[in-house]
Amino acid sequence: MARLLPILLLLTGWLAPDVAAQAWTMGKGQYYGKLAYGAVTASHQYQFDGRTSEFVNGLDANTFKDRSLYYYSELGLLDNLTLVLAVPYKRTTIRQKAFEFKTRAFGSATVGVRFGLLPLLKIQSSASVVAVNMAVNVPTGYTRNYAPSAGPGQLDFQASLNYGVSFYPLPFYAQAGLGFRARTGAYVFSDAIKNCNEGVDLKCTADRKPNLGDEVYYNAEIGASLFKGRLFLQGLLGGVHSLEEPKDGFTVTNPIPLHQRYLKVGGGAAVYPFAATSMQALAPIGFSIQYFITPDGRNTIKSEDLFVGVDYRIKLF
Amino acid sequence: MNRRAFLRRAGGAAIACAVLPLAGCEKNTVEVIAEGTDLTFLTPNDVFFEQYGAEASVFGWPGVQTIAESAWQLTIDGLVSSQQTVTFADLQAETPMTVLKTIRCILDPPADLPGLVGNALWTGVPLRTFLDRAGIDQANTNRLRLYAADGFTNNITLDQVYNVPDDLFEPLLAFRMNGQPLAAEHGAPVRLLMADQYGYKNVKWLTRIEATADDTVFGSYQNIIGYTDDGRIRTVNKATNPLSFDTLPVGPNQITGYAISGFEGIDKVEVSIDGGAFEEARILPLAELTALFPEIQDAVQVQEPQRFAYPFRGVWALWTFDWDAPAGNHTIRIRATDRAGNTQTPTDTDPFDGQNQIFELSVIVE
Repeated sequence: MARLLPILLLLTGWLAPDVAAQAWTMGKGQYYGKLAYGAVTASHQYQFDGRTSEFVNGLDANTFKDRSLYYYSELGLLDNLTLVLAVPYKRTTIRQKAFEFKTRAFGSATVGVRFGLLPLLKIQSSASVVAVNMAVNVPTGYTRNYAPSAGPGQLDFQASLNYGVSFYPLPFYAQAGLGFRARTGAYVFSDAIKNCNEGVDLKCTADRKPNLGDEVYYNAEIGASLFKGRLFLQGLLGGVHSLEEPKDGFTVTNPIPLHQRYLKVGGGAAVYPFAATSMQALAPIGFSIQYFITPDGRNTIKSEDLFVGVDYRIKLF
Repeated sequence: MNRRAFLRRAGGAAIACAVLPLAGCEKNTVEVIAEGTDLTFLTPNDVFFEQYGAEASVFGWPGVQTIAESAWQLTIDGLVSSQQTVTFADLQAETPMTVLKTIRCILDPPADLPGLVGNALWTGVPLRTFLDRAGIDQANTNRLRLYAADGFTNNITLDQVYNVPDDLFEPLLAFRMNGQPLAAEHGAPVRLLMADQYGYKNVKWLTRIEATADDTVFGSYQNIIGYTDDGRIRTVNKATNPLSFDTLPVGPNQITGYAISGFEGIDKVEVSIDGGAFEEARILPLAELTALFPEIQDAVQVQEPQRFAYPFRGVWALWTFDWDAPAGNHTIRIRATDRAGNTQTPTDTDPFDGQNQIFELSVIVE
């Protein structure tokens, strides 16, 4: 079992709310905040070579459940500079034949900035935007060798280039991004159960501090804004591709899959029911839903992911 | 609020979120969701665990192999005077031998129930018979490389075939399990059976044996994952009833489980409650087992008591411990020792040789 528990570490790089609209910066003083609830459920996993198998041998019913809460926010510091902050509250349950393992904890926070590149380059374009996203994933003090853990326990740096285009006057837009995540191996701002007697103490695994492989990550989105901005429809794609080949499966000596690859595709919708109404205070409130499947992966869970959220926009300064 | 003031506050909040631990909200629990199991000495075929070494080590593992008896062939080549192709009919022409053998995966997670372990009555014929026919070059052969139909590989040494200790049965080509033909999940039609070895040395769907002078480690588990090459079952035990975090009634309770060693038969199993002195558990005597499972009298270990001392080497010993439990939370530690004096230590010092530290469970008595 221990070999399976840390698989959820793979999900720490997956934060559904930040898949969307990463090419656009906020206007100066604009704040966007979103609270989302995610239901990630899996009965199967992708093996190191892409084969699928049960997540827990002999059990086929939702042996992996992640019911996390996500806070995601953007703030326009300047017209072409946006501060991004996100933090999940992880609620993960793994069920085995005899035991159920649960962890509740804040996962790694993402703190980053987004630069609108075209204004910096003095390029004027009414339709296209290009942005550079840079962020650091910082542990929030959780115990990295709990079974399961709320995160990898180390600092990760990531940077991506995102391109977006509006097809106005048609009500469509698209964006895509490609990024690199450096797994630093700097195990800071996380705790560990010292001298965990793995195999005896069921609550923990040995504090191995593995050297995780760097990753490329990517996302793409196509969307439509309908009914004067009251309804948004999205087609979404996101993934992670370890630069190192996933070599072997989960074992007692490799409980954390060092190298992961996965692709998620899905769709979403957001409604702003009070937009274009006289209720100005409520106009920025939106309700969203997103659903993903995992059609391909290696060393990861084969999950279905459902996110529902509420978001709000306001001008702060 | 002006922008500068806002930035100061927002930046401070962001840094606080990043740096200040939010660990106060952290909670980790393990709950038992099943009832413990009292093991039976023979594990029925339909509940015998299924584990495939190639699944976690062979890229593109093709899955469980389905090989008809009539289609099965075992090639013996390499340092031989006459390459052999052994058929299932060749096996059946030999005098079969029935043995008791516990298959225990090198990783039998304590949290798994009953775990990757099971005991059966196996029937097969000695591998040596066919190696002799091939004319193994015993002077130059160091290892026999084993190849399975699903891509899994392993090796045994020539000594393990030709210098078998007296208290072990010799390597068998096994084709029956608890009186039934092997199921595909257990390696049908023929798997190797090694008396004192972890499961991964008991190669399923065996199709080729290569005699080689090369004395380096060879095998999917060893080369890819790093498990020990000697494959010998370490001295281990596991309580299967109750389970950790179980709630028990105040008063008489019974703790049950298994112990096994590939070095020697189990000598004793001891139980310590809450750090107290270790007290000896009761190992089920052979007479009780034969009364419950008369068929085990067919096993060579039972038939030749002067050669095979009970508890048998490489076969689990089932044990019970009577405990008059007082109310409260209790930690139970269980330690097995074999007749060679190999015993379990408080921690597992080598994760590559199987989990073999003192077993521990926590229970609530109320």
